Amino acid sequence: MNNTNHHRLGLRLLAAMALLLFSAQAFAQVQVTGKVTSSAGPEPGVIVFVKGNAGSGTMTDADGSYFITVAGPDAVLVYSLMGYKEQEIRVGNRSKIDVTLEEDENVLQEVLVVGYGTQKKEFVVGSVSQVGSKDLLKAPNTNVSTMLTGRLAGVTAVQTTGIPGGDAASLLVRGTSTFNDSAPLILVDGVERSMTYLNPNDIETVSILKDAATAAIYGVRGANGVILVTTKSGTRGKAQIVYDGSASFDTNTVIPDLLNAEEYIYWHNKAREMDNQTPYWTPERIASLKERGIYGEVDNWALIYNDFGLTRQHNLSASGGTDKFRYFTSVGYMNQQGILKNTSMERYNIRANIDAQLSKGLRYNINVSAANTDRLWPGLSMRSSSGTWQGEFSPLRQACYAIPIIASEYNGLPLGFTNGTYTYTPLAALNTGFQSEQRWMAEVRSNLEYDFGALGLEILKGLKAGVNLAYNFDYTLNRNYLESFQLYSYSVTTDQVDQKTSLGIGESNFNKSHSMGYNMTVRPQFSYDHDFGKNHISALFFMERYIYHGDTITGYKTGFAEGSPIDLNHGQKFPSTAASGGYSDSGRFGAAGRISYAYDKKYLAEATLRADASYKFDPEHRWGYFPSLALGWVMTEEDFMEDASSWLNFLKLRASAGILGRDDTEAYLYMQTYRSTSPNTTLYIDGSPYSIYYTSNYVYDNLTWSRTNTYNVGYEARFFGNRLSMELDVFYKYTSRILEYDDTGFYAPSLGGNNPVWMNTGAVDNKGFDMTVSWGDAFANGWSYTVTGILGWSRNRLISRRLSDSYPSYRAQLGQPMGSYYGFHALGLYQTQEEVDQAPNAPTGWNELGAIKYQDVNGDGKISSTEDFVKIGRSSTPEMTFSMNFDVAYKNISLSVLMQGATLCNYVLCGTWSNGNMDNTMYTRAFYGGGNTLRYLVEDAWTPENTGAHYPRLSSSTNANNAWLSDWWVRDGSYLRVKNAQLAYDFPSKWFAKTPITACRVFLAGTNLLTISAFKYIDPENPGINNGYYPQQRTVSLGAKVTF
Amino acid sequence: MKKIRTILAIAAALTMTACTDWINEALDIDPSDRYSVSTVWSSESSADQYLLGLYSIIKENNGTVGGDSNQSLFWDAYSDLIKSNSWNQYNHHYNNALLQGTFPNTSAGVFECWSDSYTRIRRCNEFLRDAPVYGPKISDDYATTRSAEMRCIRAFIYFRLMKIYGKCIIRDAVDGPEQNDKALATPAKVWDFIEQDLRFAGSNIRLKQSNGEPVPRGRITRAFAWGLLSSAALYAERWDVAIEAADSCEAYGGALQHLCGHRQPRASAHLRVRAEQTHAQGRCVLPPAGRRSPGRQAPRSQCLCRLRAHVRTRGQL
Repeated sequence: MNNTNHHRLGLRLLAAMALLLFSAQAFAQVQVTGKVTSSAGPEPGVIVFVKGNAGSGTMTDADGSYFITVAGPDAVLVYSLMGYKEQEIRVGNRSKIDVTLEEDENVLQEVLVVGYGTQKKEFVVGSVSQVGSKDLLKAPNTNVSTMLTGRLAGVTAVQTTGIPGGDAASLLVRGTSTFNDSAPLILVDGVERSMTYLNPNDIETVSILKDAATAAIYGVRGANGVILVTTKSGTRGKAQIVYDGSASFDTNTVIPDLLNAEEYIYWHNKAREMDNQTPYWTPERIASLKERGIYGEVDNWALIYNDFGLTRQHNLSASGGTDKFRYFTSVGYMNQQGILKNTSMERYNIRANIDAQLSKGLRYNINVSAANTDRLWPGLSMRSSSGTWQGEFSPLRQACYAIPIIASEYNGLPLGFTNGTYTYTPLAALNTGFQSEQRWMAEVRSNLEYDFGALGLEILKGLKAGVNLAYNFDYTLNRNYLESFQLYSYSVTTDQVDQKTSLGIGESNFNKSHSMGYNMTVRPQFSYDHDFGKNHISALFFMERYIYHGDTITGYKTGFAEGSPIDLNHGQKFPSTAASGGYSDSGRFGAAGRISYAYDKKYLAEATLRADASYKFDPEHRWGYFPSLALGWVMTEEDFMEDASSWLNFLKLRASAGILGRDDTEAYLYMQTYRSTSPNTTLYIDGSPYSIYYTSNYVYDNLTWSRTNTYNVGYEARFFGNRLSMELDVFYKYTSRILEYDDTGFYAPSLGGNNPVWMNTGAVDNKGFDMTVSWGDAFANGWSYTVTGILGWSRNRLISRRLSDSYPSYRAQLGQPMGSYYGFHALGLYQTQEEVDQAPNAPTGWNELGAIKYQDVNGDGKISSTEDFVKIGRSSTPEMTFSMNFDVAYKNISLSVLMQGATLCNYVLCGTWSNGNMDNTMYTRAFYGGGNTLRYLVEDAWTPENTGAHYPRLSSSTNANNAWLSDWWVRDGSYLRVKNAQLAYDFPSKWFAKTPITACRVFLAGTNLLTISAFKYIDPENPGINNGYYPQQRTVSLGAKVTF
Repeated sequence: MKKIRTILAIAAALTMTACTDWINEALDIDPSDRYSVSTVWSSESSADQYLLGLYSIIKENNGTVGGDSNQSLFWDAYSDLIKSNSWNQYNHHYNNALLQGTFPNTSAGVFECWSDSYTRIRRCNEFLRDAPVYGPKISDDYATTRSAEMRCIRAFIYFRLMKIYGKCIIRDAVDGPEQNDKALATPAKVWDFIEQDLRFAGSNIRLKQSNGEPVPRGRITRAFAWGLLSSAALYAERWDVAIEAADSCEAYGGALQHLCGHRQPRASAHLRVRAEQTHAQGRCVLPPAGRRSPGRQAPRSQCLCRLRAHVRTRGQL
């Protein structure tokens, strides 16, 4: 008995050990092989790996076979191939697992936001570019419009300044097609709004509608392209809370490189000698200035700029939902301290987007958002009334012209150098007064939709009816204050210091204005989406009514005591105009329909028709009709393309044509209206002054909208397992009946002005292409990368315009792109006295050694702007924009770099005043305005020792000959920037296993990090009037994104 | 069935009108920074304010410093009557300006006023077009009396054109682009036109207000119209008209005014222009033999002074 038990125990032990051995072996290695196929046959390149161990994988070979070792039967194998649904299969006891992959329809069912809805990408026949929030939010930005730079083919974004609260980029879709306003229509969630105050974190996608097929549904407003911004909506699932925070350090990309004290003395004295004048800054004079306390070595840029600007952003959002109810809510805060002292911008955003299924078939969506911004600028305006950077007393301008050897303070008051007219005290000018603007915006958009399919009838399936209501409210409070102060002014001609009142501020003055505006849109719509066997039909029909009302009031007061609180009640005097105000209204109505048809997902057709009415035109000419037609052919669905399917995954050809329009003219021109004057003190009746009425305009009965005929041809293709994708569109736009204003004497003056000055007679055409190429791949070892290249080119041409100049044909504007520069052709600098003597008279100023020599184009012995101007440069709006985006990721680290650039554009260094007179600027003449100078203008100026110079004769005064616009001063505007870069790290999620955090990501990012351009002394995107402007900013940011 | 059809039809019609009303509410917007026809012609005082706008030609011709250029004091500023010590050739249009101005053969130089005159004529014609339409709502005789004032002003403008250019285009209605190429009229026709306007004015300007009060001082009177006709007739060399007009002017209260202070009974209309006198010296100058030769001095008893109407109308040298 004992022996048997012993035996049994032994056997059991043996069995246990054998089992253990076996399982140990199983624990060590199980080899699995198999074949992976799909509907197209064996699939090579499929990544196979063990779930939870991404680095352990392998790939299928040319037959689709694979071989992998797993830990045991519990291992789960994951099969992954781009474009196909991922599959997870438990190994179990098998050693051979064959897998059939299913196509991932999500790739083809990627949905694009198009006019008034979304369409599956496979059915889109128009030209649409779309970018998602993941790409948009690579680097923190203060303004949504600047985030679009380089992300979308066909969009040109130019940012001309970095000032907080004013740094939006101006956007153009496919260049300019008209000589009136070329801004595209911007819609947020289907409602026309500005993008400027949107919280960037709220954005889901931005899509651009470029051609007639897509933009025609917007009719009268769609001719310049349409930008659709869609905000996030909730997704089904557990609530997800995300915190986004970042801090950015901003520096100027480039500021004028001015001389320091020692250099200024040397070069200014030398310039005076070149002019045969005695130098001002002799050692005796300097010693005297030092003794009196006037001398000081001042860096004016350091006075007015901080070391860096700081921008902080915090954003908290929550989203989630169930089948019946989904929500996305967010709260955001941005605080931007400008690098220029006394400039700042603060913004609060709040949003709630809610989607509710109220009952079977009835769906309700409401988006509510509100924003508050608070912007502060220095009191002295940096911009002129026309918006150009020509503010006469702007602190930036004063900093350029203040000389570096005059101290900034004397006897307790600011000290400045005077050139006879102006005294420059940049720091005092920066610190006086303020311009504050606060805005409150509230926006609501709600949509109620009933799906008739809920009734159960087959024929009604896909029919939906709904009403869309949107209401936007905007309130702005502006407060502007200027405080007059005393200063000392040093004049070098009298060598005296005089006390004066501040420049441009005779008396302390204040004004406050309240303005509000609201607009309301109502849109009932019907839509229908149905598949009848192989036929797919979808239709959309809607009507839209829009009204706007705005109201404003401004109060003025002067005479404030120093240190008193600033408001209207505290001023002591009423100026001659104590209050002003007004209101305005506008309205639009339109109706549109769109029908799309697809047969077997192969042949696509779409037609739209929109009818629009604008309040600006008289009732007979109010309505415009805008049709369009588009056709598409998905070649890869054809049988004859079967063979190519191994390398060609998708190919769609498309073409579209349509008519769009704009109503860019003054309103009320069809009515007889009168204006009045204030009581005219020289017209007295019975001893009292009288105000009078007078008729205000010619009555037009035939003005109507301008019209753009758009044609677009393009293709979309994907190759090599959807790794390479290409999209190319070629377009031509012809805009006619452009409304132009011409009062230059086409009609006899004896008509007394009773003739039309507005006419629908302009015409412009525009052609070009835009192209996107993208290549991406992912590997088993954890590496993945995507490279996207975008190229866009457009060239416009002025076909018809009322021009009253009688210029010779070699400088004709017709047939040339708009905005081209015309000027003299410069042959060089005068090098010998003989040349100077034989040259024709200078147009103004005089000829001398080192002055610019111009070509007498028509050979008449005179240099004149009417006869000798030729085309010297392209418009400053770039014709070609390109960008290249690299995204590389390895496991948890990702790096993204966006290089963006533009070319085929020029800008000029000299300037034009608002009355049309040309002049030098500090970029073209040394010591311009009697102030400091840029280094390159003196170091490379013409002197008898430096005859190969790039800049005219060194001089401390003006020779008007060199101020004319000529190709000497034209610079190539091409540039290449590292526009955006981000290095990010995702913490492994197992670190947070026990915390509420599900993911955490930190990043280091930057914008405008490096700029390469032809002329390095000014930013290539400068606004053109080079009299000092707030520069574009280079930012470096640190941020984190935590998901709970 | 028929009842249902009618109800449906009415409902459809109502919805249609409601719809079009709803649409038009958004589109028919009145301007907020301008006045409409109904505001301006709503009452006598506001319509008069519209008319007063036409008076500005007279004001501007009275300008001294900084007023409408080139018409200072009806060009007396360009004569020896007024001297200016101003150095500023841009802001003072006195005889200095004649020394600096350029006289291209395509314009009247410092006397240029063609476009400006026609703009004013157009405004007068607009009033002439609208007054008969909207005037009856205000009162029966509104259109006539106010059109009379307007025509007096229009004649004043044509008179100025004739003095400077010698001929012009007659535009007696609101002309548009179709009448762009209207031909010049002969001087005789223009003078006829002026005479016609002034005769109408002289007979139709109101003598007192509708409530019986006298017309406020500053408005054009019949005496003004007749005086202007008399002055114009001298230029046109229609002597009989000048005499008749001068008589009518006196009948309506105009009085002859003398430069030297002498009282003169009805001075003869044969007087030529160019009689000058310096009041301080108490001396008179006899009228010249020819139009442009200077006059010769004469004792007081033989003074022949220039005729003037009570409300100062001035002519050019």
